[in-house]
Amino acid sequence: MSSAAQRLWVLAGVLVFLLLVLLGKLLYLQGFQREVFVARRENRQLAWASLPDRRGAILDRWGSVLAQDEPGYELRIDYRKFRRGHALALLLHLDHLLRRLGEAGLVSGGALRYQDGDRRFAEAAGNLLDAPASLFSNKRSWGRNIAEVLRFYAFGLVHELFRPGEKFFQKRALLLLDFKRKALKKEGGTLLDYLSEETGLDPGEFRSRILPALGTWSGELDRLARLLGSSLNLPGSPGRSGGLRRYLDALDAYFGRRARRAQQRKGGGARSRAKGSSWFSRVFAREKGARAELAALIYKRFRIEDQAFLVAREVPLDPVVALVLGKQEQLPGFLIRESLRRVRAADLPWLGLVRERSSTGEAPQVLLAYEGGKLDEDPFDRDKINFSDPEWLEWKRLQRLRALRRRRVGVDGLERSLEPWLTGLPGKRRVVRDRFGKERNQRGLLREVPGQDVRLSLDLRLQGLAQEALQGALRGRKRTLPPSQRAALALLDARSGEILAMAWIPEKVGGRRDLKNTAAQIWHYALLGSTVKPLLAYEALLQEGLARGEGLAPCTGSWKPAGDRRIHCDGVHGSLQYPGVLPFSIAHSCNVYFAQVGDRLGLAGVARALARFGLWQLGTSYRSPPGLLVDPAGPVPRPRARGPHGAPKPTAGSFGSLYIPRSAARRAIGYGMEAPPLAVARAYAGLALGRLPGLRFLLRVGDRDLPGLPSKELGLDPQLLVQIQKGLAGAVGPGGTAFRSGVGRLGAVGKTGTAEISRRYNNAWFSGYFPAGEPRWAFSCVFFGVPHGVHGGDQPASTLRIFLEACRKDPVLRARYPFLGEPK
Amino acid sequence: MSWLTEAPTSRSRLGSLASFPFSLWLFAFLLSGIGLLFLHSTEPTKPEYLGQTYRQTQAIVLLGLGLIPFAWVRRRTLLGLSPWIYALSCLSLLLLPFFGVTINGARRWFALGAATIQPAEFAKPALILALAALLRDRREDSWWAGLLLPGLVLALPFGMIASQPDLGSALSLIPVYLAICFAAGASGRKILLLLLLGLLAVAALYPFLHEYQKARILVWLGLDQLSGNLGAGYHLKQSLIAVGGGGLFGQGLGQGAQNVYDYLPYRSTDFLFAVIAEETGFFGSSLFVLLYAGLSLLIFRRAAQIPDRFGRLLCVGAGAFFASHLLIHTGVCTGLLPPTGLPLPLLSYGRSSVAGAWLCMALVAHACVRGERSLAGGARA
Repeated sequence: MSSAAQRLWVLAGVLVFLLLVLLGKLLYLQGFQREVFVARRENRQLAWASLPDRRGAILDRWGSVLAQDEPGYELRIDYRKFRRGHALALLLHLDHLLRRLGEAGLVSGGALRYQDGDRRFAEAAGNLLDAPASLFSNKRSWGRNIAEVLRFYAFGLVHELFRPGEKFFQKRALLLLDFKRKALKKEGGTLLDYLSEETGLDPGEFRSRILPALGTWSGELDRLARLLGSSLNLPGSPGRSGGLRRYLDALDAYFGRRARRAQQRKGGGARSRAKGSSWFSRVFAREKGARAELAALIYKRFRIEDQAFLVAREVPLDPVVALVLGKQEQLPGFLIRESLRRVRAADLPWLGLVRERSSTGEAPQVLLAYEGGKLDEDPFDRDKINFSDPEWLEWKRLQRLRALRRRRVGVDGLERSLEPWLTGLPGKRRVVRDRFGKERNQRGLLREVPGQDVRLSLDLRLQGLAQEALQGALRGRKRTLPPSQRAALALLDARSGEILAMAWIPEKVGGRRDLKNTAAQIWHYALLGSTVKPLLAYEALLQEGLARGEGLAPCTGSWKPAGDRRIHCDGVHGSLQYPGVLPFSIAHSCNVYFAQVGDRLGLAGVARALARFGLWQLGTSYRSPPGLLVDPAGPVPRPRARGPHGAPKPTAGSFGSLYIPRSAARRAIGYGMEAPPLAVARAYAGLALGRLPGLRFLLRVGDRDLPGLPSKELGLDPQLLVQIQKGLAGAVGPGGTAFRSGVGRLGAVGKTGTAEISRRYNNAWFSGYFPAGEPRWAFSCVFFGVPHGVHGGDQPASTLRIFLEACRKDPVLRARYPFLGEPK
Repeated sequence: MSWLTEAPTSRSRLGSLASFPFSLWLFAFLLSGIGLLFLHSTEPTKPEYLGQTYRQTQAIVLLGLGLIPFAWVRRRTLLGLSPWIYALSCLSLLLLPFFGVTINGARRWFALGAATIQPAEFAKPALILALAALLRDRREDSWWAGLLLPGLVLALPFGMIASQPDLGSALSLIPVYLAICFAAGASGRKILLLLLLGLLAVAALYPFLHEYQKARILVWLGLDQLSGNLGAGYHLKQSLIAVGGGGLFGQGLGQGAQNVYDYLPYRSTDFLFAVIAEETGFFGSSLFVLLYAGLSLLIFRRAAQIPDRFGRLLCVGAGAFFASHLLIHTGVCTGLLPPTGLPLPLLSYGRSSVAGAWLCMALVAHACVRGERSLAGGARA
């Protein structure tokens, strides 16, 4: 073999050897490490996209919509893109980084914030141009990585602010990486010198363009801020809200905190990584100490900011979409996503449909998201996480679900209480995203399960009229209203127990109705006063002689029971010993008569009398409308510090011993007796028909009819019952306590009640049924905390009259309820 | 050994049509066809890639067929032109800083209307030609004549290409230079010593490298995780994911996720092998590597059969050219070498690259067709 051939053989041998090395590496990568690389690929490319579930609609008995989901849009922010593309963000982060490095920062005083004015940002930009160019050199002690980040911010900013031309654009990539050019070598050269040299722009031109350029960026941000309003929930600060700039400050701080926490969890950044790497890494690791920690922190933060964050749910579509999509250059990172928004009947602000924590005014129409709190605590180490781990996936799903529910449901009210039926399950899609985060493909689909529609027993028209009547009554008052003025009106179908209306007006706080206060809700307790008297009357009728007043002292305006203080009556009703004394006493609300009846019956008799009408059932409470499917609890004896849901309740101490009932006589005239308006209306339905209806609130869920609770036959003697009904008719007739209101002329009958709740204020009630001859509706109207001198016959009875008159005038209601009669 | 030295039976006389290396030509077309297949696979993934397959096909057909007559250029003419060709290629490299266009921070191209020409790709065959011409009658194993003088010929284009900066292309010239020197008679020990000195020189020149080049080396050594995840290491990371994710059998033509979803940068040029590995898996990519290496080995085989020294050195240079590009390109894609941009001749998109590769093939054809028996070094060695 020739020498030349031998040499070629050697060359071929070298090539074959290198080929074997290459094939070995290929086998290692593709044969043994495949799983690792597939996991990395999927981690980066695959993502879950949630499919919002349509929440069930809430309908009234006739199918009118109280609340339903409609397609809407939400606004999100990819903070990483924003931070790297927005001029203000670039300046702010450059300032923060310089401060962390022990440099002075770009502005005097505290660190830059998004909330700062344009002047401060302009000062920062000016100072940046005057900064020594060597600040951005790798030669500085903080190392190449941090210098690179500094250069990234500085050049990014110049790029965004001045747009210095194609030449500079082309150089940008190189400039970012390689910063050792002419101007740097000059002693004392500034960044401005460098930029002028590189771009050929006049230094003065740079300066003159700072303020207008910043103004453009700032202006677009402020335009968006104005559209979004000032009630964005601040990230990481549950319960706090603010405008967009505050939001951005909070988001920035939030990511900073999370990055620090993640780094602490990991136990030190680059140094610990170096320890875990090869000996080669340990020997040659160049960045040590604090700067390595900072570099690692920057990287950690970069990783954490990888998800789009919700800014506002249910954004006003046209202006926001137009702005965000039209101004992507000045609003980088903002994204519009399709979602569902909850639309509620606009004229029902106080039905308690949704009760957001921050709502202290009108009903919230735009619910702004992010609740923070426990949802932020990520129990998984994101650097080691296995993204196909079912435990992690489940945690993620639940986290989203919880956040979603809290946002859409509120903490109380109808939406919250109907949650089990209304809520669905969000679906999800496994999507493939390209390098720019754009969705390119779909790998899997888990369809969403929509919530079920709920049909309530309410009649939206009746509800609206009841609410208007209450509001009108409160507006029309000439006397000074106490700050806690609130009112409620419950209307039932006396036969079926279906709740037709339950209007309420919450108390005023700072001049606005406070939706947070649960005390005025229709299903909460209130002191009853004389409202209990007709309910007690049937027990009196059963006692031989009591109905005729045998052995009762005459009404001289007061009467002193044994072991209790003297009880006063509103009038002097004379002898109480005659056959018609009971209807008379109901009509005139004679305290002396009923106190003596109570005294005769004893505490057990009073309890028996009230229990007959579904009241006085200790130990049961109902919290929300579905709870009304069970028999409501009745009056409960004091002391009872707080009601359900923490509703404020008067304590014994606040009322003084005067109001603590000591005897059955005092209980018989309503002292210390509490019941919700709905329970009282139901009890009066019992008086009207001799049958206690089971309350019914939900008629239909999805495609299922929900049966109501069966009525309870009371087994009352009709002849005895007629005497009570006569008393109720007397109360609205001439001389009766509610005569002046004129409600009797419309055919309604009822009983007034005025309960002292303090030395200055009363609860004023009017409860009864309509129409008198053939009762169809039972009602109870209460004004809480009216001043002394206002009785149940005043505001409550008048309100009911106004309500009934309005019902008669409404042709739709007349068609639905023919017994309303014609308007006069 | 006989497969390397045995002369083809069809060769009856010099310059005859039968002596044209049709088998190599067909092999090159086969590889180009494979390249077109994968260019077609990358084409729909990015708007900028649209039309690449068509343009590449045009270039392959034009050059693959148009350069066939080059084989019959007279030897003396070629030898006479070789210094001028070398000088012209150096001149074109020299003019780049003044008339070239900058793309991605590097000035490597001349703009001719919408098209661009990369002189570095033409410098490669020019260097082969120049080295072969220089060493064709120098047989002594001396430092100066065998290594340093050719080293000076290498240094000029090397320096100018490296300063563009295009370190990958520059480095690909070194194996060509070493192979030609070795085939011309330089001692293996001296070459090893030169390699060692070269490594030391690289270490000494490290501080003078561009920052991104330093960052790439640090990322490759695993010393800089931050850059490895964010900047300089991005290409390497995506390429490894593409290669590793391909598994044993691949994801199928046009189905590679890194390719389709635009994660893999420069996938029609500098990372084409990553696409091949992702879509055909270990078996497919190994077969491809063996095929490509087969081209180099066949060229070496032809070199052994060529009686004249000039022709043999041309073949060795061309074989080394293809082998070095294969090893550097695949080495970068698999993480064996630090990230650097080097296309795969005959396959990667780029008309300059295609032209460079086919010019190398033309040199091989010329060596086969126009051998000079009077200069046959093998017969006397």
